[in-house]
Amino acid sequence: MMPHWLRGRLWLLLAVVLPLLGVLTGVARSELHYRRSQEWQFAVAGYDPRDLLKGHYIAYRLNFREIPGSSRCPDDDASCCLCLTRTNRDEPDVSRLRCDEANTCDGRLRADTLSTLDRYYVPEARAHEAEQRLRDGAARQTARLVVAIDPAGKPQVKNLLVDGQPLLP
Amino acid sequence: MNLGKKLAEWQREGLLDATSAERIRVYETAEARPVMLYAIAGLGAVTIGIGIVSVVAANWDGIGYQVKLALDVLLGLALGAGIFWADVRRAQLLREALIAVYYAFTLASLALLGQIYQLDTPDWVALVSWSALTAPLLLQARSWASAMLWLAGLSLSYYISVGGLAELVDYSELGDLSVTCAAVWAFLLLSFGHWPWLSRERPVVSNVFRVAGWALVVAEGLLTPMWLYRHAQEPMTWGTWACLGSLAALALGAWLWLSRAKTAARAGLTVFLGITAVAVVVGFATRHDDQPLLAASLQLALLAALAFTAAQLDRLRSFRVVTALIALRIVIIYFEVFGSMLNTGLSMIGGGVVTLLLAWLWKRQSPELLARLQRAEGA
Repeated sequence: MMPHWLRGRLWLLLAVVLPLLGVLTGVARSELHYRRSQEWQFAVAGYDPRDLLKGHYIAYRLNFREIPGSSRCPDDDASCCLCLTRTNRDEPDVSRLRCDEANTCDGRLRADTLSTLDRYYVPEARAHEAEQRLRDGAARQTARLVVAIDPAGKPQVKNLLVDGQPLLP
Repeated sequence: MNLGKKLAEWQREGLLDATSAERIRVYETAEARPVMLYAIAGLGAVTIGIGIVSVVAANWDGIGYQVKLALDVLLGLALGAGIFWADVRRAQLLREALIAVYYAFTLASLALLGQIYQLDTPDWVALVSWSALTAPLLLQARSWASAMLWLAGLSLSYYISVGGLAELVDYSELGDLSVTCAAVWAFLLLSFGHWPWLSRERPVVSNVFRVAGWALVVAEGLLTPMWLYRHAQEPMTWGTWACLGSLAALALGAWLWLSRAKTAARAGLTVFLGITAVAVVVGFATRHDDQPLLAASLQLALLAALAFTAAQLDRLRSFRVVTALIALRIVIIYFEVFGSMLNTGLSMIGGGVVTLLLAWLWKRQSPELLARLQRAEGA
């Protein structure tokens, strides 16, 4: 039995629910990505040490611990992956392999997704504080980007740490 | 027009008796749209929406992300419930205002999602998602204010989305691309505005989209000859063909959308689009230097086609505005071709003759149009 207030308003109900459903789907997708993923940390260096802040985000570059002479493919190759090998440090060793060859690595990161990892969104009110902390952390080599990478090699930025603490605690 | 003053004046002149004047007053009062009320309510709703966007953008410090998301969902539920409540209570103004707030709120929520999860989603994907998620919501709106807001949101999404194409094409093809994008957008707006369901169930919304679509067609047509004010030496490219294709689609659409209008009116619009196509070919696909006279001639031809169409559609005010624009354009030509004494003199004689012809045409057409409108009203 349909309540009287809903009679003739099914389209309105759909119209009202759909935007919320879209937002909740986005939340669920990101949470699911976190659950299916392994966390990895990469060292962060300032892209331009004088000017890290770009509007609402901080731009930087990742300093991978690359194994010399291990690169077999370029970053812009869609079938190229970063083979991640866990070490006793907080960052992995990195070599570049074709994705189908990187199945045996501890983790793999698709090279064509690296451009999605070069920025971190910060609150407007604390943007300059975040920039200063990251600049100091990068200089001391204690800045780390935490990335959740799913089994397919797709990354999602999770946190930016300085001295083991979130950039803006 | 002050209705009270006019009615009093007509009574004094013996054109209207007191009973008829009172009936007109009652009718007009009942029919009057609360424009100011809608404008103020719309302004309030938009202000709230922008406020929400700002609060989210400022990102509430110290609040955990789960709490932020929970608050966001709660606010969304409250807005949804409010829309439902207003609909049940038939509080139309509140319903429209809440729909507008919910529209802005959805965009703010998507932005919040992006901030919390550090999503590197391109702007166009976020805007297209926003437009898709809120389309059923805005289809529930009935006021012109909501329709205008929706139109603005859709236009923003469209232009940000196609803006990415600009990076893919050669610099010399940007003109073709901009004309094509505008024509395609006008086509989409008009197709939507003439959608039978929308015309029947949401006449005000439908009208906003139609007016916007035709306004874009007119603006595009009148601006396209401006490309003749530059040196060009491009051959015919895929971009030019895309322009012509989109203009042909608009011409075809005009015949379908205005099926009830006179054949002459549709022909007038087709001629307008045809002249725009000529401006596209000459402007983009031929070698030429700066051609101010040709550009002005094409603009005058476009305005003439527009005036003809307005007259055929019995749009007296539009007809007057367009003929005034023709006179203004002719005056501007004097300055553009100002050169030797001979050129200037000949231009001024020619321009003066055309202006006089125009005044004669105006004088001749206006009463005819008025008479036609009166006959149509009487029938």
